[in-house]
Amino acid sequence: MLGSVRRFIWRVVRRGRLDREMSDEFAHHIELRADDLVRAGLAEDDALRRARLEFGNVTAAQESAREAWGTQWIDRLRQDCRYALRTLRRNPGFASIAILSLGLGIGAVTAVFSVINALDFRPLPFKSADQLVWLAEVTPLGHDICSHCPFPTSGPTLHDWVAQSTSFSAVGAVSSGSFGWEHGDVTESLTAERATPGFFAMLGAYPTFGRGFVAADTVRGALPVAVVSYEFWEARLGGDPRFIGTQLTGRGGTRYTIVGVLPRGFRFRDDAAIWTPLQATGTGSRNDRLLTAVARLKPGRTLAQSNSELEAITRLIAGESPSDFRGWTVQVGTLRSLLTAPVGKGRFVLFAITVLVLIIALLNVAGLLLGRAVGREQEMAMRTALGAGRSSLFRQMLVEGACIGVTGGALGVWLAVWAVRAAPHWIALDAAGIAVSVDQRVLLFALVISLAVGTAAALLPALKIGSLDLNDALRRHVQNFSQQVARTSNVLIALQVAVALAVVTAAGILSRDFLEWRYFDLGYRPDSLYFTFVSGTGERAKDPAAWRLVAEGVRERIAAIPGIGSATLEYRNASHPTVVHPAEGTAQLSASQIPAVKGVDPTYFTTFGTPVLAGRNFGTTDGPGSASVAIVNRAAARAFWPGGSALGKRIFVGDSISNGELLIVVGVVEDAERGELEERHWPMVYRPMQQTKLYHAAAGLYVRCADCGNGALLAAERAVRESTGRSATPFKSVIDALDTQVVGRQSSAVILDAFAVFGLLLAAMGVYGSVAYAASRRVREIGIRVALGAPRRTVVQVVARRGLIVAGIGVGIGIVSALLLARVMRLLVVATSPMNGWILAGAALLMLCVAGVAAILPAIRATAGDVLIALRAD
Amino acid sequence: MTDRKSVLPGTLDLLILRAVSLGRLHGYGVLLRVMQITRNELQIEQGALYPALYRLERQGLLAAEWGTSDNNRRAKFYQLTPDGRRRLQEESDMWRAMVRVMSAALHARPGEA
Repeated sequence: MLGSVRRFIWRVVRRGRLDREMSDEFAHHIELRADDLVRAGLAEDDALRRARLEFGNVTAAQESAREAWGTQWIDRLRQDCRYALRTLRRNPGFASIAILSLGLGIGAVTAVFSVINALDFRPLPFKSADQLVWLAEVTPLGHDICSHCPFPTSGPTLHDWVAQSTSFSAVGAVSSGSFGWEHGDVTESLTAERATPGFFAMLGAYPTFGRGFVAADTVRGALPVAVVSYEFWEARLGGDPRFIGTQLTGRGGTRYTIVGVLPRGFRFRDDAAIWTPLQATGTGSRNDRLLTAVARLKPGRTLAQSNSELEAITRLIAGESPSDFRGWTVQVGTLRSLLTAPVGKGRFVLFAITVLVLIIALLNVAGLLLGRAVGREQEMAMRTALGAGRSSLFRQMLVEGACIGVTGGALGVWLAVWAVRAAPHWIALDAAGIAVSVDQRVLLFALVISLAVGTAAALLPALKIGSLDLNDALRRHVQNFSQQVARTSNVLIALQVAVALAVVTAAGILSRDFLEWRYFDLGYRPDSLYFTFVSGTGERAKDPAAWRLVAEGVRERIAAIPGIGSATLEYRNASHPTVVHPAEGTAQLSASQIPAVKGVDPTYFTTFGTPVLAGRNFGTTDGPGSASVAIVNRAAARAFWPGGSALGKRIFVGDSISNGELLIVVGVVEDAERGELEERHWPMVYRPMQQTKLYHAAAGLYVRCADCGNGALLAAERAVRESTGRSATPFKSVIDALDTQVVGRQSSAVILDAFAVFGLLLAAMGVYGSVAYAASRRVREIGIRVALGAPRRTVVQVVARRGLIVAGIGVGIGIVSALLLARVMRLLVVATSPMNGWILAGAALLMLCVAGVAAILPAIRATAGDVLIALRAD
Repeated sequence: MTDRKSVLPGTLDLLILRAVSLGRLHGYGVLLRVMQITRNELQIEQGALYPALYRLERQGLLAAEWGTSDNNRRAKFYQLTPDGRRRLQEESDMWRAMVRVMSAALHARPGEA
C-alpha cells in the first residue's frame, strides 16, 4: 500500500520525464520500423511516412498511455484549476466578494482553532508531557470556591500519597504566592511560586545557569535560596550569570541567595519571576490545602490505575481524620486539564460562533455561484457541445469552488497569523502559560477547511448545472432552469437569515456576559478606590482579639491622613467551612446559593459607595455585647426569602469549631463584589467586624481617595508598617485590578460582537444579492404585467412580497432556532445574562428590510422605465 | 495483408506477456515478436501496444529498464517479472480451457448431446 502510494507520487512528480521517455520510445519504434521497411525495399522518405502511418495516432496513444499511469487526473485537475482561476480573474467583482467572505470566515475559524490546538492538542512544553498528571483533591458540594472542582492538597496528604503510591516515578508540588522584593526604598510584589526539590527535573526543565532545588534547601535552618526565571534575570538582573550567588531581599528582610536561572520560556501556569523551595512535610493540617501536586506516571501505568490507587490511599487517610475530608474526594487528571482550567471553556464557544459565521459565508458564496450558474448555462451548453461530459462540468464547478476556498483560505491564514500574534493580549491565554502559534496542524486544518468550504459552496450550483437540460439551454429555453435555481436560492436565503439570527443571539448573550461589569452597575464605585492587605506578625496571628485592635488602629490612622476620604477593613471568609442558611423556612439552597460571609466595619458600604437598599448600615453600637446582626446582599435576600422582605429575619451561620449563631438581618445592600466577576451575584452575608470571629491576623484594607496626589498612599503604607510591624504590599488601584481581570473578557466580548456583526453583514449581503437577483430575473414578467395594465404599485407589491416572504420564513426559523440556542447555551455556559430580545428583533428587522429593499428596487426600476425595455429583458 | 484479423479484446495483454516471456525486448521488438508468434495473422495497431505495455508495467507484471538497442540507441527494454510469469501461466490455462469449451460447443451436433 505504502509502496504503491510512493510509486504513484513518483509518477506524479516525474510526469514530465515519463512524458519525454515515452516520446523517445515512440520515436525509436518508428525509426526501427522505417529501417525495416527500407530494408524491405522502400525509399527512405516513404518508409518513414509508412512507419508513422502504421503506428497510428501518436497523441491518442500518449493519452491512453498516460491513462495507464493513473496520473492523468492530476493533469486534468491542473487544467481545471487553470480554467477556474481564469474564470475568476475575468469576474473580479464576484471573485473578490467570494474570496473575502470565505477568507474572513476561514481566518476567524483558523485563529480560534490555533488557540484550541495550542491548549488541547499540541504536546505541552515539558519532557514526555503525556505522562504528567495532576493529583487533586475534589471539593465537596457547596464549597466556597466551587462545587466538585479539582483543588490543591495539603502537605500531610501529599506526604502520604508519595509514601504509599506506586504509580508514579516522581511526585512534586508547587504553591503560588507573591514575593515582596525589597530593593531601595520599595517593596515590589513579584509573582512567585514555591516548588519542591525535583519539580523542575520532573518537568525536564534544567536551569540554564546554576542549579535547581535540592533536599538540603528545605531542611530547617537551611540558607534561604531562590531560582529566578530567565525573563526576570534578563530584564531585571541585567542577564549577568555572575548574579548567581548574590542575594535578593524578601519581605521582612529575609535574604535569598539566587542559586539558579531557569531556561528561557519556562513557565508553569503563571509567569512566576522567582521560585523558592517548598517542603511538603507530613505535619500540619490536612485542611490547609495549598499544594498543587504534579506527578509523572510510571511507564505503562494508566490514569485510571493511578486514580483508583490514590482513591484507596485517601480513603484510609480520610478514615483517620474524617472531619478534614467531609465530602472531599480525589482525582488524578492530566496536567493539561490543570493548566487549561483557568482559561475556561470560552474558546469552544468562540469556535462554535466562528463556525456559524463561516457557514454564513459559505451560503453567501453558494448563492453567488448559483446566480452565476444561471448566467453561465450557455457557456456550459457550449462546452458540452464541444465534448465535455456532464461529470467534467460538475468537476469543473467543484474545482472552481475549491479554488475560491483555497484562495480565501490563504487570506484567512494570513489574518489568523496576524490575529494570533495579537491574541495573548486579547484573551486570557496567559493564565495557562502556553504559547499560541500557527503551526503545521493549524495550516493543515485551514487547508482542509478551505477545500471543504469551497467545494461545499460549489456543490449546490454544480448539482443544478448537472440537472440542466443542455439542449434546452442552447436553445435559450432557460426559463425552467432559472425557476429551479430561484427555488434553491430561496432556501439559501432562508438558511442564511436563520443562521445569522442564531449567531447574533448567541454572541449577544455571551458578549453581554463577558462585558457585564461594563454595562451593569458594579454595585460600587471603583474609581479612586485602592486596596492593600494588612497582616500581623506571627505572635499576633495567635491572638486575633489583640490583632483586631491593631487593625482598627491602622484603619483609624489611615482615615485621618489628609487626602484620604475614608478607609475600611474587610475580613473575608469570616466563616469556614461555611454553613449558612436562613433560620426559618425550608428554602432548599443550591450550591451556588450558599453565601460567603465577610466581616466588615461600619464604614465599609460608604467607602465602597454601595447603596443600602433597605434597613440600616452597621453602626458603632453593633459591638461584641449587642445583638448579633447581619446585612445581606440582594442575591442572598432573593435566595433566602423569595418574594418577602429580609429585614428582621434570622440567618444561621456556623463553622467547624462553634455550634453556630443566629444573626438578625438589619439591612439589604446592592449586589457588589469586587474582583471576581463570577461572584457578582453570589449571595453575601456581611457581619460587623466587632462581632466576627477572626481566624487569622490578616485583613483587606480599602481606602477611597479624596486627593491622593500628595503621597497620601505612601503615608498610609508607612502607617501600616509602623502599626503592624510588617511592611504593606503597595496599594493597588481597584480599577487596575478590574482591568487586568476583565481585559481578556472585554476583548473576548469585542471579538464576539465583531463576529456577530460580521456574520450579520455577510448575511445581509448574501440576502440582498440573492433577492435582488431573483427579482431582476422577473423584470420581463413585470414588463408583461405592466403592459397588460396592472397598476405599477400592485406589481411592485407582488414582487416585494415574494422577497419578504422568503426572508420572513428565514426570520421565523431564525427566531425559533435562536430561542432554542439560548436555552441550550444556558445549560452549557454559565450565561447569567438574559437573552436580549431587542438585539434579535433588530437583527430580524434588518434582514427583512434588506430583503424588502432588494426586492423592491429592481421592481421599481422595471415599472418606472420603458415597458418595452422590460419586455425585452431576459 | 488485408484479411488479417484484429486482436480479440483482452488478448493483447496475453500476447505481450507471451512475447516477452521468450526474452528481453524493446517496444518494437515486442511488436515483431507478436507478429512472429501469431504468424503475422493478427493486425495489431502499433500505437495501442504502448498503453498496454505501461499498464502491465504498472501492474507489476513487466519490469522495464533502459538499455542500448542493436542500432546503438537508448531504448526501453521489457521483461517478465515472477508475477508476470505466474499471470501468463494462469491466463494461458484459462485461454486453453476456454478454447476447448468453445470449440466443443461449436462442433457439437444435435445428435451428440
